[in-house]
Amino acid sequence: MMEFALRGLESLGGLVRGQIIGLGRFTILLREIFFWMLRPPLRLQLIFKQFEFVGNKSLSIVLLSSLFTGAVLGLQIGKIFGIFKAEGLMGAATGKALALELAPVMCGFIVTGRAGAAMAAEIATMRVNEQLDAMEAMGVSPVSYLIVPRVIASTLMMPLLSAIFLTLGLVGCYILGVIMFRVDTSVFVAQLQWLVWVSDIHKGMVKALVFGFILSTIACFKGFHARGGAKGVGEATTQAVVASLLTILIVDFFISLVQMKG
Amino acid sequence: MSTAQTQSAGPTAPTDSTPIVCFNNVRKSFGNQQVLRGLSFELRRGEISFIIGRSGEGKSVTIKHMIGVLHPDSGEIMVHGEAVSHAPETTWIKIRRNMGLLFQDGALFDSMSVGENIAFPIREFEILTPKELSLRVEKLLELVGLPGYGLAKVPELSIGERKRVGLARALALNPSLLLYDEPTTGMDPLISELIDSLISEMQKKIPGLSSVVISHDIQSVLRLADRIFFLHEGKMYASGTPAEFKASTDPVIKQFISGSLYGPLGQPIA
Repeated sequence: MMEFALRGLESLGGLVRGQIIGLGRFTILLREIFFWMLRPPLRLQLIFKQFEFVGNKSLSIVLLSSLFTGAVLGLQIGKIFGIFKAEGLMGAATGKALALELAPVMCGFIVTGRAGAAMAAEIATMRVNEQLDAMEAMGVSPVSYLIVPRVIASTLMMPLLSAIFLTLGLVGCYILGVIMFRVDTSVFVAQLQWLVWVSDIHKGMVKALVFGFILSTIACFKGFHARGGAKGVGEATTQAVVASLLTILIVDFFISLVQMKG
Repeated sequence: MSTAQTQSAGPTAPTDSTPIVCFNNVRKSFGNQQVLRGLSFELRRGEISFIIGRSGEGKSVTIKHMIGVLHPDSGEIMVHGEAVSHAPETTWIKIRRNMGLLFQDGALFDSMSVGENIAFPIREFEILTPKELSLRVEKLLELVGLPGYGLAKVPELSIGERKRVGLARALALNPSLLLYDEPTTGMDPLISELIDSLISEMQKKIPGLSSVVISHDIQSVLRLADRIFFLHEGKMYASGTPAEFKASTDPVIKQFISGSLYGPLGQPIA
């Protein structure tokens, strides 16, 4: 019995130790990211390449998913508001939800699944094939060359993608409202202007900025510390996606708390 | 020839000026696995030094310590007379600019073309016009016997070609210390001969160049080495010239040189 308890404690200790080591490594990587962000060379060409990869290549998924997310949200809200004969408010309610929560969170999920997973897999492959060692051996910091451009591009592109998501989401809701619920355009727009404030959009943009930073640093961190062959690459990619999604949801809650009090 | 039996503590006595690389009682473990167990040796300037030993003895780990990709758990490493065991990354970045390393599989960036791979270190540290850069890349490709390969994609290359491109990239910044991690492994005899002659040629062409080669190819070792370092059980078991190694009566060295299955090294695990 005693031995069983000791073994349990030992494995719990090992788990906690592993988490602390991981957190320490992540902190060291964060420090290096900020160190190289503020140092020349500013790799503009690589940053623009990542803008294209994170932003442009995620655009079609963002466009499609935002239209349907806005439409389905409008459908559910319209159905409930219909009970109180308040279908006119569906645009405003959808807009508020999209601006504050859905646009940044959904964009975070989409960019994590598309770009974050690719970042983790690419860097992990470079790690297991000794390409990162080769880069270091040439006197080039992989953090400066590979990670900083990805973090800058993801952080700056996320608010833009979030704004596009919000706009297209509202278009989806509007189309549904006009066709299914016969909502008048002027009522839809008036209620939207009344309930959705510019500060809501700002709050959503701040969240998107933070999520962009989170997803790219986690993806690069998992790839950077990948071990083993193809299995290690797969594990790093899975861990990057799971950790990013969970962190986005947790951080979203705390940012919302701060924003509500502010 | 000095062996661990006759010189177990400290590095071999230098006869040249400052050694280019010096390991003093370096220890390194990965988890519970002890790889380097008090490794000590000195590499002389301007020589071709071969580090030999059985697979898994820590030869690649040793080379990674020389370039600062790995850091020792204890002990001291000196490069160009400077203690660098726990030097900050910024110091290592400066040191590495004078080093070229050819990795076991080339470690080429597969998202780039062959030419871009070779141009990578040059772009990072030198300012050249596109024409100058392209000429330099082509010259390096000719040097390793791959003229006109600049636009080729890395995944399309054979293992031998990858190694040659890796060598061209390692030579791109005219380093004073060239490190080769098993350059002839997996190559046909003709390519092995070509790489051997390249190693020798580089040594003659670049005054003061020091080369460190990790190899299992005993013929290459005996033909090219100025000095051989034999790594065994995480320590430097012996060091000396090829003639000294050939004449050695030590049963461990004799077995390794002859490639015999029977002797104190035991049989390799099939």
